[in-house]
Amino acid sequence: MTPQPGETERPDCEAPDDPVATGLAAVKEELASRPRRRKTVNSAGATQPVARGDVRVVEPLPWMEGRKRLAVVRRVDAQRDAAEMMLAHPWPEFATDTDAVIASHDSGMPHPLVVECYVRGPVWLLQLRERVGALTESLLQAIGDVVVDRDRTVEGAYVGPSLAGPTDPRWHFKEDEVAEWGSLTYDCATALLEDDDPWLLEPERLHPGTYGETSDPSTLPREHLRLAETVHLVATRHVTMEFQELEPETMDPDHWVEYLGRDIGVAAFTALRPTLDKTLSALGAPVLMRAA
Amino acid sequence: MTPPSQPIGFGELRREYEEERIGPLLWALTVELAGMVGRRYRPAEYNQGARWDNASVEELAQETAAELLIGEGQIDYIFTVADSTEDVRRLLTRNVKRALWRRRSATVVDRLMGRIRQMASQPPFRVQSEEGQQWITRADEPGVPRALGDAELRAAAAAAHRVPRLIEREGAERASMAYAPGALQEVLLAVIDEAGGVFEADLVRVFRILLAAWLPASLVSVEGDDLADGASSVPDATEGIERRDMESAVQDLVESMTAEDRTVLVCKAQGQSDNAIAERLGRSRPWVAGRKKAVLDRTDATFADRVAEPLRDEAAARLLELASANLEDASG
Repeated sequence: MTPQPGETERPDCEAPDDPVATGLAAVKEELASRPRRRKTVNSAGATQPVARGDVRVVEPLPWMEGRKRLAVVRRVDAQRDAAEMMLAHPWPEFATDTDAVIASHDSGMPHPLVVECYVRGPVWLLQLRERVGALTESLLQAIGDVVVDRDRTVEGAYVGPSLAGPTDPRWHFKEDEVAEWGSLTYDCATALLEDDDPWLLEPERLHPGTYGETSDPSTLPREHLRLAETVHLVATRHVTMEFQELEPETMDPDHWVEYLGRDIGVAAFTALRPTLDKTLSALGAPVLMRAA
Repeated sequence: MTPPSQPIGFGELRREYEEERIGPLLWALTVELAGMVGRRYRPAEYNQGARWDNASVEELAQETAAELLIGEGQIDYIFTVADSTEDVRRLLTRNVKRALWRRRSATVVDRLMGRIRQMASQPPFRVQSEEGQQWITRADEPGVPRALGDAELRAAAAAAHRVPRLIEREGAERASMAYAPGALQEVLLAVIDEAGGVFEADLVRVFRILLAAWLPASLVSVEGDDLADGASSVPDATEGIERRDMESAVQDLVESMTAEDRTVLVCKAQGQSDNAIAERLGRSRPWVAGRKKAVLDRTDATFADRVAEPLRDEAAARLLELASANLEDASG
């Protein structure tokens, strides 16, 4: 098979005097002299509840674009299933005076951690993956101190040089960081800011036929992503809809099972039912739905 | 017979990372990207003057692997956030660029230190040898020789950070001097006043911190990291004509400026206050404010008249490069 642009050819390291093999030997020596730095987080950390100071991977919602990034938890809002996070990266020379740099020997992480203290915002807890590090309360305090009082010497953290205007190449780096973080936080920030403002849901989102026929859940087709988005919208927003636009099929769990299979159909109906109930009861209509 | 090569899947890369951190697949990828990225940069400044060949590409890959991927644990970060082979390539590319920046920084700092040695041998400075190391102070305040701690180095860099740098020119024939002569003296005075004196070795470290904000833009851009997938863009004929027009407009604009206009422009672009610029030029603050307005008005008018809208950001960057180059040439 001919590699496509951007793909990498498999190296043949068996050939005699192969430079790849020679270079690799030197890399192996380097690896042997610097054993893998163990993370301070034990294996249970991956499943522990989200807590202040956690360094976590944030991923985009599955139906949205974006890249996975590291971020530090500032606080958790368990009631809203959200956490306020500060974006982080591992490249110290890109740090400005609003970024706190923590060396790996202080954070216990395998690489330096640059915490972008003013690139912060809320994300849903469901966007957070395993905990990959944890900053102590004193380190969190140091981050705050060093960024607020930039001339002060603070144990455990330091800031980079201030941005020297738009000609400073880090200016564009920072713009990219803000944009990337904006795409990761957009949904949660919007929902929290709009709070109880009602969202008018498109009626077809509540019809099982919108999401296609039963298909292999493991492939997570586009229709299923759209269904997940609908369930997410209903769970995180104050959603309303027009009663007259509701089709009878919408309120029958059998139709959800027919279209989406038992597992997904029942789960989707159960997730959407409170919203349907609320709409009907607000209008004083009789509850027509059967239990799933 | 060698079997046909297969594209490497992300699963294979992740498996190799989990088993040995860097094995044949990741090493080959690092060498490939070092070649693709390194060859775009001038050998004079990024490869010790030698032309890029397989051996020097491998040397760059070794630096990337030893100092950054392994030494800084960057390979662990890559596999914490990567979801695809494309992600791995993009993040490896960023580290190859960081290795190039370190080379570049070392070259620039070497040159700065050469100038510092000449400068420090004359008043208002004084150099004394202390156990084989050169201790630089103000002539009238010799201080007590001592090495600086990390926090002191950063404080010294912060004190010198307000001194304007010359703006790095992409593709310039020769390396920028980074600081005009007067500015370099200001840097040295700021460091000495902050720290009470400085060993040459510590001054090197201070410059490395200061030059972080002076990286060539192409070593920083995220878009540039994505270029490692082999994509290329060819400007069409119209864009070529518009770019020539832009270049000509910017050159005319720079030539029409006085040295003071250029200084105001370069300093304002680096966030300097009108007061600081006035002090530097020996002028009043209102005079600087007036010149700033005149220069910006003229720039706006020229861009509106002669530069296609999509190229205006690029024109502004080019204007600053040329103004900076002009100041650098004038200062020798």
